[in-house]
Amino acid sequence: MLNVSEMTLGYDGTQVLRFGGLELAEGGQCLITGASGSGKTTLLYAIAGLIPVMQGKITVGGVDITEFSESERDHFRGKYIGMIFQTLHLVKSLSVLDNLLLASYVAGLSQERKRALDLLKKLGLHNKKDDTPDCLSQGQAQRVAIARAVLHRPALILADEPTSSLDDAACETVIDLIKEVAEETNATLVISTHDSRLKSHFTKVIKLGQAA
Amino acid sequence: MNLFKLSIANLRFSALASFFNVVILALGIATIITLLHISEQVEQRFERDLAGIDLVVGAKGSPIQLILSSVFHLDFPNGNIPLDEAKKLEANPLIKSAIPIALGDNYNGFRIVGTTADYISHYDGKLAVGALYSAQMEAVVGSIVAEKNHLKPGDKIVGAHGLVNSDDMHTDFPYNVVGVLAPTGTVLDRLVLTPVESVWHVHEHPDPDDPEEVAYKKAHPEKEITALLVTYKTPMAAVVLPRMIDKTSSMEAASPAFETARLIKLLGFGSDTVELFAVVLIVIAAVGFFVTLWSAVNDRCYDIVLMRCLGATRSKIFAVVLTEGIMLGSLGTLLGLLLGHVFSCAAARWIEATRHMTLNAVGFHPYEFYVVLIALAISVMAAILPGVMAYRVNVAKILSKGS
Repeated sequence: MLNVSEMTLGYDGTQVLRFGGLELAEGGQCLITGASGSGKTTLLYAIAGLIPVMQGKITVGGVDITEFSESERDHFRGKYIGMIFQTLHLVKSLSVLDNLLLASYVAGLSQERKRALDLLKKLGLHNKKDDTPDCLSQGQAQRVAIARAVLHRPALILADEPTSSLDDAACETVIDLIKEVAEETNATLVISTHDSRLKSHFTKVIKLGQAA
Repeated sequence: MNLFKLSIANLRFSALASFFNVVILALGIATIITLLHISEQVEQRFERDLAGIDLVVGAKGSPIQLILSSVFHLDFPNGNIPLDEAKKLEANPLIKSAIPIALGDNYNGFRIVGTTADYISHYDGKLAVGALYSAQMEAVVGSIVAEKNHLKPGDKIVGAHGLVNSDDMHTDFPYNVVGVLAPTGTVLDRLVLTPVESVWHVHEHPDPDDPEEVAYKKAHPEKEITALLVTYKTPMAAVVLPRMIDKTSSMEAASPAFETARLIKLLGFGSDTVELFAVVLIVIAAVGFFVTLWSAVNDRCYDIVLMRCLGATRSKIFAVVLTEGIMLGSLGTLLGLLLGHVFSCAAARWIEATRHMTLNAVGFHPYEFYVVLIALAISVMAAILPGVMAYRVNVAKILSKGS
């Protein structure tokens, strides 16, 4: 499903990372670890199509996204990739439900209100649907963000440090939740993190060295 | 979720700043519309009062004063002109009509004008009740004069000496009101009209206690009028007559159209001033928009990044910011239109009450369309740069900085 060839990545023409390659089947799960500055986040953003690849190929579901233009990558990401972040969760001016629907809107997908409500119910946030993000705790906001990431049943879920700011109990809950929603839709899951607590949850772990 | 819902949510999130900018734009537009209305109304009013009078002939002095006093009945006359000289001029073949007017007294602040019936028909004055005057000391009153003083045919009114309210009453010479005119929207509404002979009659015997008046009467024993309102027979007259009158007589000729244009320019009611004012106000509003949207884009940097991660293209982000600008602009413009019309009506009322000038500020000015168009165009322009900034947000850089 996800196939990352040997490649080099960088910003503004400066090489940041040389990566050996990665292959994941449909429903496969993988953890990318490494010290901060090792380029794991850069790699994740490259897979998401947020930064262009200097050299190499990234194919998602058989499609090489490195050949796409930026806006094509945006469309592709909106449709097939769900993203989860450490702290960047919700748009402050919108209600919880609208935050979910926003994902479908900006990706140009049909807005499945019922599925959004079902997801919120499942995560125990149904009574918060009309609240603004200010009314939510960090954990609640992250759960909404997870719901949003799987709303349109993406083939690939990318999570960037999803648990780093959480305590042990919350860490367990969140990682279990992410794995659960990924498995439900048989989505491929890639998590980049320096959180060693996650290692036990994954069989496939790729450790990146220091930046070149 | 759609573009408008998203933009409204964003604007509501920075409600105070949005509100202030909408109000600034609205005030700008309202001011422009009010100025447009009032200047147009004043000009139209002047035009109506000019009513095709080509030339005013009066005593030598300031031509603007001559026009103001004899056409608009606002200022004091320069002086009087001898009747026989005026009569001589009337016979000139270049002149189609010449209406004499004789000023001097007022009734409760409304001017008493000695003139012929031609004056009333010149302004299309129609009688509401009663009849036109046919004899000395009979008077026809304008609609506003009648309304304010509750006059009807059969009433007697007493004039006071001078053109403003005074105690110097001509109690020995009351006028009989014989008719009341229907409203015309011109200066006629504010006048008391009587034959020229009435004015002569009242002033025939100067006040023996006033040496100035006695001396004036002695120096000017002949009959006088204040001015002659002339309509030309041919355009040629415009070239010949004013020069001839100024050179060969003791009188002065002033063109009402020319002097009024000069006056409007002097007063700053001209369109140049309005335009400049308009530009300054709208530019202030545009700068406000720009600052609001710019800081909103800065504040919402992470929201923008998030939307990009959710699959929004750069163009979509740009569209969101632009929509916010257009919404602010439309809201301000709409409010401005509303306020502008309220202000116009209020200003017209105020001018009517304090400047003795009836204005009608209801209805749309043709320029309003352009004002709206320009305001919207400028709102869009003010949103473009913040939009471009949002368009250019570097997602990867901000993400790696933030987490």
